[in-house]
Amino acid sequence: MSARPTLQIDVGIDASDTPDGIRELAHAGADEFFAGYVPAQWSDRYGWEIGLNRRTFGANCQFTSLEGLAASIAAAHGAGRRVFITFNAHDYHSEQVPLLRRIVSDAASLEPDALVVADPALLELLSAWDIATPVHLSIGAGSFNGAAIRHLAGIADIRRVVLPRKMTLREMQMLIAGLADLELEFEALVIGYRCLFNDEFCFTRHTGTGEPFCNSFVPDPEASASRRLPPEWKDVAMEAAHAPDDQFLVGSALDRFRKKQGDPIRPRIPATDTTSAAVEGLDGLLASSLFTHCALCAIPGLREAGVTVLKVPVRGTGRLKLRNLEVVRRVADHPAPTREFCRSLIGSQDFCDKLGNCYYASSEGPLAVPQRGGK
Amino acid sequence: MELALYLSNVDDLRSIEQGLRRIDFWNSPKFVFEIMFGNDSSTAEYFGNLAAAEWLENYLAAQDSFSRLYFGQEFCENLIPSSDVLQEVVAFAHDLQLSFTYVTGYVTDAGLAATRRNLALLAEQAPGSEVVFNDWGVLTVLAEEFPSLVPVLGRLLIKQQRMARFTTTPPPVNLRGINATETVVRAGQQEALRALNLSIPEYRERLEGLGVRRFDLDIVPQGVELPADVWGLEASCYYPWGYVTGSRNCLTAGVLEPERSFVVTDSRCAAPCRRFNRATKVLQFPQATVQRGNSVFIYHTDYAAPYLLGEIPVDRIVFEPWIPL
Repeated sequence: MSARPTLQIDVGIDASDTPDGIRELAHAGADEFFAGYVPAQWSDRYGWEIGLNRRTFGANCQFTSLEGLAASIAAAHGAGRRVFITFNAHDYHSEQVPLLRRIVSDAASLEPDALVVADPALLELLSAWDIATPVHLSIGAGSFNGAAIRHLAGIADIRRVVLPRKMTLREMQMLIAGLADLELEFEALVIGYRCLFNDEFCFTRHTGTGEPFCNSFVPDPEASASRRLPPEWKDVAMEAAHAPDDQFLVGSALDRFRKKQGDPIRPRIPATDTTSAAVEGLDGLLASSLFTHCALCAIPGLREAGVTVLKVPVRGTGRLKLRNLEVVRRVADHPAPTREFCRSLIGSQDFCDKLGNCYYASSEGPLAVPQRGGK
Repeated sequence: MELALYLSNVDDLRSIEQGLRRIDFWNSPKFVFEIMFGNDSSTAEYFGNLAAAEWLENYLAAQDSFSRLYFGQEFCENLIPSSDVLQEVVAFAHDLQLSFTYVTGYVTDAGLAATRRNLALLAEQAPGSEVVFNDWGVLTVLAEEFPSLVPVLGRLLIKQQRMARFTTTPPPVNLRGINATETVVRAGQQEALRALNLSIPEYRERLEGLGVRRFDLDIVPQGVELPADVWGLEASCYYPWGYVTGSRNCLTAGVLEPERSFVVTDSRCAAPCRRFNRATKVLQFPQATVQRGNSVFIYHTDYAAPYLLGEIPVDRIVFEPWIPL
């Protein structure tokens, strides 16, 4: 049994985090920080919606001045913490390259500890520009398998992989075990917004004005399903079209069709009493406003899988990030955090019982998976 | 312009005549539509099929028919075809003298193992076939282990925004903290949204070094900026269904295992998407989308014309009678 790895916590910061605020976050348990940098040269040309990184909601999620970013990096380094700058837009293009090069070079000149990148074209450019700052693969790189990571690690100096949100702990473990020779770090998200969709393969646009598609998309766990139409549905349609009045007779094309299709299929939702009066702790909606989604219970399993960094992706959330950080730190430092302990930190049975609030499958705890080598 | 037929389900191939058949029943009484399609938004796929069949009939009246078959799975590794199915489809393509393109998706290590198995079969039975890759791991396997297969950069690795800011009415621009006019910002955004990272030579060189000569595009409302020589590459476009977004969690799988609506699990998926449709509500969003399994699609309208008419230099239409999932 190897020594229990120390879990680092990576917290998102923005311009509202002053150097004092960063020292406060460091004191509260942040080991590392990640930040976006979007100067006016970029935003005045492309707006916030075409981002240098994946937080395209507006200035509140970014550093917009090099001086502000420099002060924050200095504060973090002064507290012995690392800082990473995100240039993890899904793609950049040739017209942007001169400006992109200036901005990335400016950020790199502040000596951050890594750049967080998603676009393989930018990985190529970093090498071409002789930027020596190490690279973390963003979630947006879509690193679902070991061979993909090996490919990208052949382009730039990759030191860490931020794992996609939509993997099981077992899949993470298999991937990490297969890459042992590369000595990479692996980071996973454990709290905050967990989009319903895969970041790396979502081609909608987030904006600070209007509703993003994902927020307009409302999955109803109780929604029924309908049977897909049979291959001969066009025959039915034509028969009904030619003789509509006959369709009200038993045995008509539509009558046979409907009987074959049957009723909608209801999902198998476990019965729970979710009325607020029947549960303990904070109301679930309030807890959801604070934590959005949560993987505290999965942290032991993530550690077992080989994840060594826990990401707290709460840029632009003001004081809420401190509360998110605190609960993650408590679990990360606990020698053997039980599910009950994790739930007590959230403090809302309503939140924890509700389908859809977990980052990872609820059954996933510490693993006992045989080690398997990947190619 | 080359025309390819794209299917992702062997059952659709077995009933392809029905799938491509045009019928005209738009003047049927309303109750026929209500009985057959209900008010489930996912049934828009069937209306899409009717419109697509009509488009195809008109297209074939003036152009050559299919010369290539695309088959495979881009969006869900639980649906990667078995070797037996792939063998059947390869034989079908061979019998009809269709060139063959095997379509792969993004995959975990387990999915990559299944993909490798199919690539081995393909390399043995149909060397020279194309393989669409949507995962860098798949490209690596192709380049290192199956040099007789021809890699094609898939649409999921072309990150152009699909439903961005120029679909119908452009949404407002967030001008807080911006020193430029809205006109300037909109122009910059339009330029960016029409561009591809393939315009960066260093990136193309890497791909070309790995044998990539073609890329597949999703049609987008804002169009795409391609040079006349397409940088020495070839380009295809998928029509009429465009991918918008998706996930490894799946609302349709959630009908049997509710947790799967929200998270990925290790249990084997029973693939209820092959039998059921399950759509969610989309509130206050201006463009109509269609959910199928774990992904969301859009049916292309007039904005597809520059691609289909050759104004944008694509030389292959990949025709999807159904949403390929």
